[in-house]
Amino acid sequence: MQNPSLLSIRNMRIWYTPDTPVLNGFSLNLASNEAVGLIGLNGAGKTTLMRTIAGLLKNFRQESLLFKGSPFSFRDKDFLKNRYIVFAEDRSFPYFTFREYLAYAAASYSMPLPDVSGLVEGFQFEKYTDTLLKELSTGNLKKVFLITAFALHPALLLLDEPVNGLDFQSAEYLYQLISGYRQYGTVLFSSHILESICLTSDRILVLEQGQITKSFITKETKPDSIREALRP
Amino acid sequence: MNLFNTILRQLCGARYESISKSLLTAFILFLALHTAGIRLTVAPFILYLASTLFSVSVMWQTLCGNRLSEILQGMLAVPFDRKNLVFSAVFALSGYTLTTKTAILWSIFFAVSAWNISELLTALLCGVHACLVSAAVFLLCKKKKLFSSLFRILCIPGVLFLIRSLKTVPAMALAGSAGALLYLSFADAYRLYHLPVQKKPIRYTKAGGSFLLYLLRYLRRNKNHLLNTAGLCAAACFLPLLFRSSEELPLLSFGFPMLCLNTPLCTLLSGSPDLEQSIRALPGQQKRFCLPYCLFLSAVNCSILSVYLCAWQIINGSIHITDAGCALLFAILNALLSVLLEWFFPIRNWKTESGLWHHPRKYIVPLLLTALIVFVEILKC
Repeated sequence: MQNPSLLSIRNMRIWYTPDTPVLNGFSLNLASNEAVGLIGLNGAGKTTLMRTIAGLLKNFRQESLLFKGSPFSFRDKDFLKNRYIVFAEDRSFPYFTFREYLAYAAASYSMPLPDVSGLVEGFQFEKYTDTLLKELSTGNLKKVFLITAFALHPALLLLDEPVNGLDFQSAEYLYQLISGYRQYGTVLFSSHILESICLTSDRILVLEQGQITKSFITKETKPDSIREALRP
Repeated sequence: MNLFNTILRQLCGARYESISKSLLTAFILFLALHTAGIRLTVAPFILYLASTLFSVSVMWQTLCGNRLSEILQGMLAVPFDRKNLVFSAVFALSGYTLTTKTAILWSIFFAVSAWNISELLTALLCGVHACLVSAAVFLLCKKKKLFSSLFRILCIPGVLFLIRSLKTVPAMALAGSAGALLYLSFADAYRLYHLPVQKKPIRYTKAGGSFLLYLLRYLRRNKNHLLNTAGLCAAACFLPLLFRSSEELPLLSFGFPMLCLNTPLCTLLSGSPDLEQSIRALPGQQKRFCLPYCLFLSAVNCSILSVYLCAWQIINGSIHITDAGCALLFAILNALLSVLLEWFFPIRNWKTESGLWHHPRKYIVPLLLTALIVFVEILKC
């Protein structure tokens, strides 16, 4: 049986300059408790879509926008508290340590400080929890935001290129986390690595020319046939 | 496209739009001041000193900024001609400094006082000299760090103070520029590129997550921000002396907006697009970010204005409790307006740290507060 709908976007247009929309006629349906991988060439609009859902971009129009079946806007307080985004590149909060950032983020979501010992161990991050974020390497910095994301358990988790910069072991651990996130909510994540998406997601969406042009159910499709379908 | 154009475009925009905008601003400012009929007697020496000091500070800031390293990184990754790269970078930075920053200062000086052609040319020469010598000293300091701070602060204005005789200024500037060019022709291009400094990481074991703590650390760990705040405290001690001569005018309150001009602290979001993005992506930030930020700015403003009031009491006397209340009000008002400006209109698309620091937006809050003082004084009359 299909899970109830979590997020529904119909006929969306997003632009930086009005004449050249990045996404046009874009529609997306995310069910509750599923993992959805988004794949597309460079410049297809994956990051723009993520940033729009996160409420950062203003230049968009759509026919309908539903969250848990009710109309909403991306900047509604209730929606903001139900989603968390990990950006592809993020050097924010350089003067916080990981623990301080986690406390700040948890308080922003009106949550008590979560226990992250398992996540810290899984990402092999024990040595860096009390170091300023400005002193961390790109990969370790990514782990800060990934651990926070999985610790907060939002209903919708947006991960933009989450594997970039991670070492091999951390990437494998991340795949486990994404696969297991269904018990908490929905993950929408973008990646250029087809294998990572095939390993973790229930559905794969292909973003081309501003729209979702192809959709695959992962367990019914082999990676090679997806690769074949992606060839121009 | 040659290297000079490539670097200048990255500093000023693809169509050199920063240059045209700044020159237009300078021209409008010149016309406005000239038409307003404001006339002052300014000694040529002050013009030369101001041109030199201002150009040195902007050039140094640009040389120290991360943006230059970002620009040069790609150029240093491919085979390059050392002399060509050094001269292209130095000339592009000098062009950027003189046309986008010093030109505005010149427009004010040229509008309010009468100058002859030789004085104008000497002022321009002082600007060029300041840029070239700053670049040479910067590269020299990278080699010998021991005396760098003292040298860069005292060297150029020191020479100007020592020579004093105005006729020798152009000759000294020419000689200094020639010396700088000679040094630059042998300088290593890699010294323009900043390597990240590896420091032993400090561990903070408390997990409070207070944004006030974050801001305190932001101030404490940024040398430039601390220096700027210390500079404002020094100005707070000096201003009562400057305002001493005009006893008829209520000048005390005019010092409040001037001393709240703490640009680096008031550009927290503008200076870090990643922080702005993350703050806007988290819920409830009006309370969790804006409130502590406003409190922090108010506290810094209050500290500086307290120094100002104490200095005024020692030098001029007659400070009342209402003056302290007024200072507190201005400190809070300035902080509130600065946070609102930063939240709703952050500065975007700046090319260098110097461009961010000298963005005209920083004058909006002091001008509003000055207008408020003038309005209150008119009401009192």
